[in-house]
Amino acid sequence: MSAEHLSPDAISDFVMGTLDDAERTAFEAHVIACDACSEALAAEARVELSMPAIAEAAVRPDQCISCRRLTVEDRCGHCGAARVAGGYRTRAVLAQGPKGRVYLATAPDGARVALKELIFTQVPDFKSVEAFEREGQVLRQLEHPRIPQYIDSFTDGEGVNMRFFLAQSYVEGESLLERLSTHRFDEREVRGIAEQVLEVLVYLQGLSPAVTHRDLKPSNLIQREDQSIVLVDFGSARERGHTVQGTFAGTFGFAPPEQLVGIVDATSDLYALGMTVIHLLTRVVPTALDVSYEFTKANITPALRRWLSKMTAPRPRDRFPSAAVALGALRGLDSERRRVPTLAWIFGAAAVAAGGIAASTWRSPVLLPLPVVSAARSGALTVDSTPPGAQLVLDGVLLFKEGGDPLVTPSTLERLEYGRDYRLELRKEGYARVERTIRIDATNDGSIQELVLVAEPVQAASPSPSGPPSSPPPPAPRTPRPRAPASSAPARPEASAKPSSTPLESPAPKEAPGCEPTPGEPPGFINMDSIPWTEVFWRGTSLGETPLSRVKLPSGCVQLLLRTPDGTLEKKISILVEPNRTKSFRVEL
Amino acid sequence: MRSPAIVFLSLFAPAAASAQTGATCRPNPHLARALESYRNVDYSGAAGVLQRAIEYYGNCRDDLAEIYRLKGTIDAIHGERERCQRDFEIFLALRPSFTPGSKEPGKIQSCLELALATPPEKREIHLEVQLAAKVEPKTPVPVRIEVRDPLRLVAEVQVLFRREGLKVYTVLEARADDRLSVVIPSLALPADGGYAVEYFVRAVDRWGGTLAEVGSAKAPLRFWVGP
Repeated sequence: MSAEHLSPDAISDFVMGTLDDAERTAFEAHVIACDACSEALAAEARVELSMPAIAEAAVRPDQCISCRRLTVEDRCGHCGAARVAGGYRTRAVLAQGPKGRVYLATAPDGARVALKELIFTQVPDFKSVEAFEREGQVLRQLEHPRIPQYIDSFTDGEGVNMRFFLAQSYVEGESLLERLSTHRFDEREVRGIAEQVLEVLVYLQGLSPAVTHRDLKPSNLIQREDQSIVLVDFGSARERGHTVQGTFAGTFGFAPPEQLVGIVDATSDLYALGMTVIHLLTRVVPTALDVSYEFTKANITPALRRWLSKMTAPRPRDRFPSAAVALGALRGLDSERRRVPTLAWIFGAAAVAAGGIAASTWRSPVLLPLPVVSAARSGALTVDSTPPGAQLVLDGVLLFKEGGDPLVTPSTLERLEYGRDYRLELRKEGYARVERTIRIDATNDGSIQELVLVAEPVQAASPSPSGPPSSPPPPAPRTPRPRAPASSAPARPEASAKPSSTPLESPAPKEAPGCEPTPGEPPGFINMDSIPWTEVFWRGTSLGETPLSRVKLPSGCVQLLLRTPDGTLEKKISILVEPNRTKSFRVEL
Repeated sequence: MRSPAIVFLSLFAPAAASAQTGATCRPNPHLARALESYRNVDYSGAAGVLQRAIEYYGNCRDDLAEIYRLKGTIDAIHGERERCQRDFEIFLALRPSFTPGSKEPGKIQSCLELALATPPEKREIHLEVQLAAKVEPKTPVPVRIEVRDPLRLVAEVQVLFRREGLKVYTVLEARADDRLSVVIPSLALPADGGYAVEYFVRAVDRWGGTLAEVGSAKAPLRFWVGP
């Protein structure tokens, strides 16, 4: 062994373990003192270390999932498709484009995932990287059955070989674009699809800050076997409220005009959904679509045509203001020959009532021709209730559909006269009536307002024995609804724990005097726990057992009843629910 | 006969130095945050932090058990029956000695009962190690390991060993399989008289969290090298 530097053979012998003890001691002493030999030794050792891995791979070559050539590397040397990435083993290429691929992959726990890969041909494209990171960030926050669940995101490789990966739950199904090639959609189907997508958009717009998808189109809507629709590809999504940038994200034809200059709002996804529905119905791509002409070819009802026209209005202010309103309007449509009532019917019914016919009874359909209010001087109103299915009474007149069925919530009342006060009443068997005075004005020209009314259940313990079962109880006197003080504590106990003599009796449905929800404001949410655990009731309806998470309640003062399962303890609390906010609290009984 | 280089790396090369630090697990700071959110009745917040807690590298087994227990609880609160059952199954796999009480809220209790109803052989992680009590010096020593992982959580198996008297363990890693053999290379066992080698084996998840152990860093197993 040389005193200057170790020979390659000596290094190899050492690594192979063939030196005797004396030689090894001398060798190690030299290596510790000599940097050059230490590096040579490390290099030799690295080669040795890689041998088992190479050998292992060499005996088990895989067929590339993309080009079908045999490969032993983690990435196919021919086409670049990944074989293994971040512990995920790819199984098939679901989609690929110039900027990446989407794989079907198996996670280490055996679960099937969709693995999205972003690749770079030259240098990383900032816009692509930003979109990819944004998709991960957005997906991580979302939790909805019709949105793929975020699992993981990671990078693989370095420099120009770097790849970005995003793993999300695999949605088994067929995109609507694929389905379009083998299937013709009818009105019933597209309405079902639109409703499902709108439910997702209602969720996204209900987040704080709201999320806009920005690339809604048939290829990003996956239809599962059970016909449910999943919205995928949040690479263009954005949290609203961020600074507007002059970059375009989306797909031409489906994106609204203002999105071309980077402006997005709640109506942007609605426009894209409208164009998607039109695409499904006409089979014509939006960029080649003459809407007015193609619409005449589409075999759809005038009501759906009007709804689509509003969805795809070029100016944002002419569209539905939100997904919730669009959904309410869509549900209010009647896809058959029936139409929503206009004031013509209402006035007709009123005329009959004035003539002595019992127009206000539950079972008297009234359909008469009558004076029509000018469309230029009228607006529309979408009415919903919790629970749905409440009959609508406008100015004391029960409303019916054209086919003779009672008009129930959710429904859209069209052509309500500007500036006029209407008295709207909701009736549902087993629930107390709810009344509101509503007014449409000219500033809401052509738009649809949404009014959410919450029906009150009739107290089960004291049903009226005298009246007929189908006859609704008289209107409950409306007490003023003062707002609860903003500074009140999250949970304010009103009654101490007490044993209940009748544990299974339905809890008292009414709010305490002075504690009522604030009408007209969006709902809020509560997280709640109790010690011991209890079932929670609001107005006689069970909200579930504690702990409760994200339970939706009307904003304002809400009184809850907590009761242990054995009925031995119960407690009433009043809470202040703030619109669109979540209140968290714990109660001890 | 090329494998002895692994030992050399673990003893001398800079790249191997990091392999000697993984013997002990680290307390998970995200778990404390998740528990805090849970105590503040912020269940959605806790769920978000829990995912980070799971992905925290090198979780202790106890921490992992608590993480999955809390995750199961929160999934039960959110009405995610399948998820909470799996979470509780993992929790029970990590803490087989757990005895359920009766004070859990109904929906959590029922989910826990579902997990408990799963036969132990379908949820418990089993790790079995075979190694001779006495070996020859300068001879590779195979550690035969059998892994039963019905929940498919184990991503890697690690053999950690050290010559008695040393403070740090050297780590040998192998991708998880039902049966595998990890070889302690001959260079790690020089012929300089009789001595003991301490070792333990653990199965870890994809984030290095300990799922099962045979022996431990503080109470290792031993084999004798030499005459």
